[in-house]
Amino acid sequence: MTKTIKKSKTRFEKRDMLATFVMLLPYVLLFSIFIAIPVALAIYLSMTSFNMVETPKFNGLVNFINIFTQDTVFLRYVLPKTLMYSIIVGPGGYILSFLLAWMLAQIQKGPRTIIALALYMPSMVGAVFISVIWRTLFSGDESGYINSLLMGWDIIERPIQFLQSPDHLMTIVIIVSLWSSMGVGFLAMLAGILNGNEELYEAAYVEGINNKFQEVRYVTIPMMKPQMLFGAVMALVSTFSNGYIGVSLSGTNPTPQYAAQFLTNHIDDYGFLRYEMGYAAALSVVLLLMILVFSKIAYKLFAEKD
Amino acid sequence: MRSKKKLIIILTVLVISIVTISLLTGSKNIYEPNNEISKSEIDTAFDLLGKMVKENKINRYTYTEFLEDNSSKIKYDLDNIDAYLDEDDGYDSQIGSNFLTLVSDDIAKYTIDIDQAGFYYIGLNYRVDEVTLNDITVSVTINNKTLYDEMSSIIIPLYWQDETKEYQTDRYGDEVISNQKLIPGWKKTSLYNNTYLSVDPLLFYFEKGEQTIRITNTSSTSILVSDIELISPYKYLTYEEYNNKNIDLKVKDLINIEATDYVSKNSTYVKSYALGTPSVTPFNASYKKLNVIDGTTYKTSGQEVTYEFEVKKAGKYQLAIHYINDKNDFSVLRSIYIDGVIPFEEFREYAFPQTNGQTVTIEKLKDDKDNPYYVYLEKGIHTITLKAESESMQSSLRIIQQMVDHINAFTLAIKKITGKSVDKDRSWIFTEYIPETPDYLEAYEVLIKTVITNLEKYSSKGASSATLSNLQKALSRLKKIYDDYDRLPLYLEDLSGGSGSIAQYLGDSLTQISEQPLYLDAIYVYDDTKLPKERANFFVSSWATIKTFFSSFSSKKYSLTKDEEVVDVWVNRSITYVDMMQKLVDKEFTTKTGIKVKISVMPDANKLVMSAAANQEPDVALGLASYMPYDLAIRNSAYDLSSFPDYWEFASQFSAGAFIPYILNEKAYAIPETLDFNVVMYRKDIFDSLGFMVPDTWEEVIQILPELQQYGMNFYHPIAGGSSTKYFYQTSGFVYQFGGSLYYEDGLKTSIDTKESIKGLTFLNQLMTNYSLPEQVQSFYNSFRYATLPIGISDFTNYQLIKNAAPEIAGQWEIAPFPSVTVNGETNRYYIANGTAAMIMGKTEKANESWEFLKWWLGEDTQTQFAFNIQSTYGPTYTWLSGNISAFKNSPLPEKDKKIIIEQVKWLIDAPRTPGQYMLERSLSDIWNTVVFEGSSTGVAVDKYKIQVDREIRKKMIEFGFISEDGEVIKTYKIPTIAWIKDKMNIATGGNYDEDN
Repeated sequence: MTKTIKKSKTRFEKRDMLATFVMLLPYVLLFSIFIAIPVALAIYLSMTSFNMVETPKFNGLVNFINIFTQDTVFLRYVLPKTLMYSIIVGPGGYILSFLLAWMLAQIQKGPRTIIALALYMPSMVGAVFISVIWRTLFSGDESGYINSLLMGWDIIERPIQFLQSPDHLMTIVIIVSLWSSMGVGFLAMLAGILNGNEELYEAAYVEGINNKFQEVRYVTIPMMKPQMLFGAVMALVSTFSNGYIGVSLSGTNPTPQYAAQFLTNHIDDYGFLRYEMGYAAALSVVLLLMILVFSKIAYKLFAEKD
Repeated sequence: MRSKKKLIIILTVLVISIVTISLLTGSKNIYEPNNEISKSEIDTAFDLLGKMVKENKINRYTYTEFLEDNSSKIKYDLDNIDAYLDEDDGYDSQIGSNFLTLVSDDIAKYTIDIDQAGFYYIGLNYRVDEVTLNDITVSVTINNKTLYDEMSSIIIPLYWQDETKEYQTDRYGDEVISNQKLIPGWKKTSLYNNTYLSVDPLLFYFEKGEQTIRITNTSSTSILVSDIELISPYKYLTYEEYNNKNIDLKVKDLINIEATDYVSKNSTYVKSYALGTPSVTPFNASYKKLNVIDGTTYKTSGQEVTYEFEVKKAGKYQLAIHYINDKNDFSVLRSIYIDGVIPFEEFREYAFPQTNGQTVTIEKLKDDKDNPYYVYLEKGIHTITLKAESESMQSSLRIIQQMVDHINAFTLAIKKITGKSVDKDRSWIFTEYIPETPDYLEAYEVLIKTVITNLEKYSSKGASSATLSNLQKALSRLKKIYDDYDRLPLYLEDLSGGSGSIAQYLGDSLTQISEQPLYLDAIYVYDDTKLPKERANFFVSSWATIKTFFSSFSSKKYSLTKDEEVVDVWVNRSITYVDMMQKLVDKEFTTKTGIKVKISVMPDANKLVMSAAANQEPDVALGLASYMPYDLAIRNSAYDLSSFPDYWEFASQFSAGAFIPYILNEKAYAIPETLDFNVVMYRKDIFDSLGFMVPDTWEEVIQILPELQQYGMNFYHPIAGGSSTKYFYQTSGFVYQFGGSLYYEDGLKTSIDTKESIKGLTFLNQLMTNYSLPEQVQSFYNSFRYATLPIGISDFTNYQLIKNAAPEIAGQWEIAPFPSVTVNGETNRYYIANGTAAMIMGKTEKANESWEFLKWWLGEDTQTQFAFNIQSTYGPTYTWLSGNISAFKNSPLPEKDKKIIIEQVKWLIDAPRTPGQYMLERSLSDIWNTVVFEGSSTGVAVDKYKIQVDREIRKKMIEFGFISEDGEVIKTYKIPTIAWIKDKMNIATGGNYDEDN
């Protein structure tokens, strides 16, 4: 049977296969070099003890066991903070993106472009801006704008240490993250709403909806599910892998009393401060799994049913 | 719908145009001088401020004022008089006269009989053989009196030249600046003050009859002095007189003098530079060629550069200069000396107009009506000297300084009345407390306007010049205060303190106005010929840019490669240092020992760890942060230096405390390369006027705090600087000062819970919780300048900043030893500081060669020479604080400060390292954080974090095989102590290790 099929392959079919191979090659190559192999290596390293200098020693699942049994910092601070942060900033930023995109879609093109650009800007210039603007705003002496204002209005006696005190740091990190969360997802949603079919709305009004809320609920959201999915995945990935804000606001990793310690910071801490690469790799595998799970949930919520 | 659209478009255009117009015209709110201010008004204003400043014990009487007071009394064409040493050391045949050697604080005395009373210049014959980078200053008294402040800081200039004009190239083909060489021999100078505030030498007044002149050496360098001469003041010829005097001989020639070909200069800091534009010569798109004098270094009044040129035919020549003046909308001043004298009045302080940014321009020296100046030159060799000047700016600078002094004093007076926090709800009538308030503000206004009036002529933009913009801003801020002067306390922030205050604007404009930056490419001596092109044309410069762009792809500047034949050294410093090191190695080390060394830049120290992992590591690594050698050592990647028999002997040249982080279980893995210091830095003016003593102990610090805080001022502890996680140097100093330690001897547990350690940590926390020291300070440098923190602990970085970048408080601050603590009757000043380390990598195959190299590099001679070379070539910001104490003692810091710093360095100590040290470091930070921000007690916080630290240490000790899983000791671990290190050094040197070294 196989013989006959092989034989029956015409020259044309062979050329077709070659074409497929050539077409696939760049993708396969790039994917394996930049994604598959590093991930596989990370998984391998996560099962070793590796101090960056000497050869890695295989130790099975010890790292993973340690993460969930020994690592008090991880269990007490990193995991809850990461989850809390992701839950507030992920969906929060996502809803904010959608709301703003929808509101923008209601106004004229000129101002819309300007405002959309203004909203998108923070996500592009994030890291630099954070240290320039936010650190100055929240600085813990009279040179910080907020402290200076509060002291000027006689609300406080001594400057509040926004960036040093664990009570405030997390809140500020969340505010700053929301500010910079209008990223690509926001643009995609804006595009989705704008490309919506006008006729659908008209039809919907004929069918009997009578306010904007219903319009959003029954037309806009179902219509732009693909963009919503994209936005959701982007928001999730970026919040999980977005550890730099707390660090660049407070100036150091770890943040004071682990007040804004996220999983990515924790990975950095182990990898580059304690030189425990194996453990850091294990943490990054955990991070990968977390992102995977949450993306799955996003798919469940937004993907087309087929 | 359409009309709506239109409306929106119109609105948008309107908004944008309003914004643009307001941006463009917003700055139009500036003062244009209109000759409304009379001389007497200025004098009254100046004296009014002077009165209060004097009450605050700031007593300035400058040469500028002296000249103004006496200018009418100067008589010209007096006879010059020679004066001889009263006592001498012998006869020098070279100058045919007696000489005297003056070491520090020695005095040369001259007695002289004056026939004609009057003002004279003093010419001094001197010789300096010792090479130094510090200004050599002397003070002069006449009959034991000084006439003005500058008499106590008179400069003895040193003359320098390049060692060679055949510039070496570095490994990448770029030309490197030559080393600097002192020109030896006897010199004669007329006396100037050390900032050269006048074009002509300082004038001294002599009565008729017998007078005694005393010259005291106030520097640490020894000088040989011989006779002096009193020189009569002279009047300059005007150009017209000069020209009429000369023969009218036309020539046709062009002599092109390259700026980098100078034969002498009076400051090592003036240096050549490779400017990347084809408009200057020489130029190469791929490799840097030294082609101009660097304007960022050639900008201080008094700096002079001299060139030699040969005239083939006698006659009248024009002069032109190819240059850049990138001072903001402002001319720079240079006096032009031909053969050592200024030929006519117009060459005194010739103003070179601003060029457009970095555009190279030719300025033909000419008068206002564009008639060129001709200089008559005989056939033969001549010299031309360009000297930076600022005399015309001095009276303005003096006025600004007076205002800054007054604002400081005035602010203090206000604070004495209002107390720490100003009551905003109170209806202030401030004139009831200080009735002169409006007068002071009016005086400021008059004086700022005067300065603008005086200076606007130096800018093509007049009073809107960017250089004067700070004054304009100060003026508009002042108006705001003046309109509401009865409520002055509410405007204290606008008057002084913080950014945007009048004091800051004035302070900043002091620097801006006095600087005279000039990039010099060439001098043309010519007539009747075409000059070389002013600028390369568009195509040439575009082509050069393209070439430079593409050659940057093949540049190997930052690649780190391993070479088998040579000792590979990676340095975590900039290319400037690395080039200088490579030159020194090639010249000194390789020629002497035959060992080849290749030094490369390692931009990121983490590369070292990676390279160790990849087996690509170098032999030697330098400039490492002090925690790195330990991290590599415990991972078996560092070479045990103490296995070299002469290690401890060599190590005894360094501060013992600096070795602590480099020792792992009684083996040493590194040597300190540089060090850092902590001293108290305080504002003398404020301490004097408040009548405070400088605190010498922490007790005394606490004693002055209430009164200091009453005036809204405070004390700075370094823990308030930097980022929110605090490092050992910020947190653990008091632990040692109070006799505690960080670890128990076996290193298995932290000892921060001992009584002494807790005492230290408590004290640190109390500084914030009980004594209200600031918890965060953005910049100590700024707070110190504006006196919100007039005292604090300063490290080397802040010391350098304040020394070099705060001209308005120059001379009004001092340093003092670090505050002490007395424990069990012993007083100590321990401080924690991290220097940088030098180490040999574990897998090296050239251990002996590497060790030879390290010994050479860190030896006293090399370090002294390197510190000298780097600073003489690149300027005072490149001060090198060698870890080698003997070399450190030779470093070019002001003598008085150096004494204090050397005393302090003896108390240097660094935190010992264990495998879990990062946990201790962050826990100490968190203890401080918990106590200060959450109000828990130090003891409770320590207990909480100690558990965490001990756990981590235990985990790491198991990982590195010091203890077993059940806590049994497999290998002992020993925490190094200073006593142990000193002991080692003592044994190695046969008991010669000097405690005071």
